Amino acid sequence: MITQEEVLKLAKLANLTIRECELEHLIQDMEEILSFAHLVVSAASTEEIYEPLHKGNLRNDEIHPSYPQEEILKNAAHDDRFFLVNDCHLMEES
Amino acid sequence: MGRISELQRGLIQRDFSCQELTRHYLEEISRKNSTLNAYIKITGDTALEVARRVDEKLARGGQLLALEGIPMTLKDNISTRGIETTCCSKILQGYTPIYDASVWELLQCQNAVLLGKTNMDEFAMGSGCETSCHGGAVNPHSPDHVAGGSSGGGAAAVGGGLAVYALGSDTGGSVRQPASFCGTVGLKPTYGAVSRYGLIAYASSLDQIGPIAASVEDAAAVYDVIRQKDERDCTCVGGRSASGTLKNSLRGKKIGVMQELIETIGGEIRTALENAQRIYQDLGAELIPVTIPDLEYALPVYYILASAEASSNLGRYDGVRYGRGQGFGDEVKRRILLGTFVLREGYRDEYYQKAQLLREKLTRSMKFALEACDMLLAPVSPTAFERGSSRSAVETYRTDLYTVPASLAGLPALSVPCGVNSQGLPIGLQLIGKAFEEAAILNAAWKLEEAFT
Repeated sequence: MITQEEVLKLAKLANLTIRECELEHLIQDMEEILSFAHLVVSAASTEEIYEPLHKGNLRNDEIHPSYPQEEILKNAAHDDRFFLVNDCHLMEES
Repeated sequence: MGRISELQRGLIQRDFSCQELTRHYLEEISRKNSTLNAYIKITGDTALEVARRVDEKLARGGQLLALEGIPMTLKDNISTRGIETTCCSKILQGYTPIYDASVWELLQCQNAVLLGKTNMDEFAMGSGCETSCHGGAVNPHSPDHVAGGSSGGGAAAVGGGLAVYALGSDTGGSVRQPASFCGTVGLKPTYGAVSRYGLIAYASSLDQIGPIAASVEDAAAVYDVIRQKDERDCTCVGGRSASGTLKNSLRGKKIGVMQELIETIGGEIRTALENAQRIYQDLGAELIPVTIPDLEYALPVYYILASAEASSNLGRYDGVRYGRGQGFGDEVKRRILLGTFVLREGYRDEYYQKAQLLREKLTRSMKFALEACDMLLAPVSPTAFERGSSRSAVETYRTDLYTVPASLAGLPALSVPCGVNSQGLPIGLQLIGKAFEEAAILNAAWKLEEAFT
């Protein structure tokens, strides 16, 4: 069983906006999904050591030229040279 | 014979020019895309520009590279510099990458002719392409059925003759399942064989880019171009050549038949798979029944881990950089909430950590099974379902049962057509190989394809 409060708390942790009209359906879905996921909790415990397929491909930590700032900020909502922190979230916090 | 080599022969013999070939595909798109909804963006002008360059090269007597001049598509989660890339999500609408994905860089070096970006489930989360903000892609074999997901647009484009090949991404089956629904070949390479740089992340420990093509030869040709080591993806070590061994004999090869998966699949698919097994026996391969312990945990383990990684990866769309802080669809919200739940303090050990251990256990079982044989044979999925069918989230998740084991184990796997059902919908067969042995499963798939033609 998952309560409305728990779903809202998860949404807040995940920074998700949930509309009032979505809530009832979402709680039902989450209940179904969590009971499906619970099979993992009830599985016999196991001791395994992670063994990757390969060792990966780490590069040296060297500085390489990156993209110009104007290019990187092309997709920002505001065309100044700074990030604008979304004030909606700040207002929700207070 | 592969479609790519056939078309390239036509280009070399001057039966048609690359611009004529490209125009043919653009006309097919304008004729059929309103029905199939395979493309969500068409890049006709740049496609014709590349085609013109290929024609000039041919006129100078230049040799064609493996994929040169061939019209193709990319899934909308593969970054393309200067071309909007949205993962079919409202949250990324208007986002234009300033860099190319490594796979797209490699294809541009081949003068690949990009026709456009293809439809997908939002952020690759879905099994029917129906969570796309553009609506779902339609199955080219039946207008009432889905093209599959999440790379449904690419599979519909290739299956419907709107592209020669497509690149998709496969996290839990998103290349193999739509490929099987649309009667095409789909390959999910070994984790680490193909660079993920520029692939917009869903679940980073599972995501792999792979080709969808009309034939095994084409899929192998595309794989051979994109399987390059990449410094910009530290998990990418590159893969091994697969095209040269497609026609090898299967005599003495051992194919493990995954019993649990075959037993749960519907009658018509099982019959098609049994028929394929007989073909393999006639070709001299040995079939061995294989059971994999703990296979029943694969699905919940996959959904816990993929959702945990998604909740972390999608945290970047917080409205600070480019997202609007709103606009995720229902399925994305459900997975972010599940991911947040399983990573939360107090729940992390019993869900996330436990799922990691079970993943490792399953991986070992798969590898152990592959010590006794050369590859595993299994269904890909039930056949395509009807569009708009109302199923619960978990009912949809359950159809991924056949594709997630190879994803969790990081093993290469492909889907190859092996018949049609009574409604005329294609049936796919899955082959799972040893790590970095794409060549072996492509060889076996080529032989099956040959037996059917």
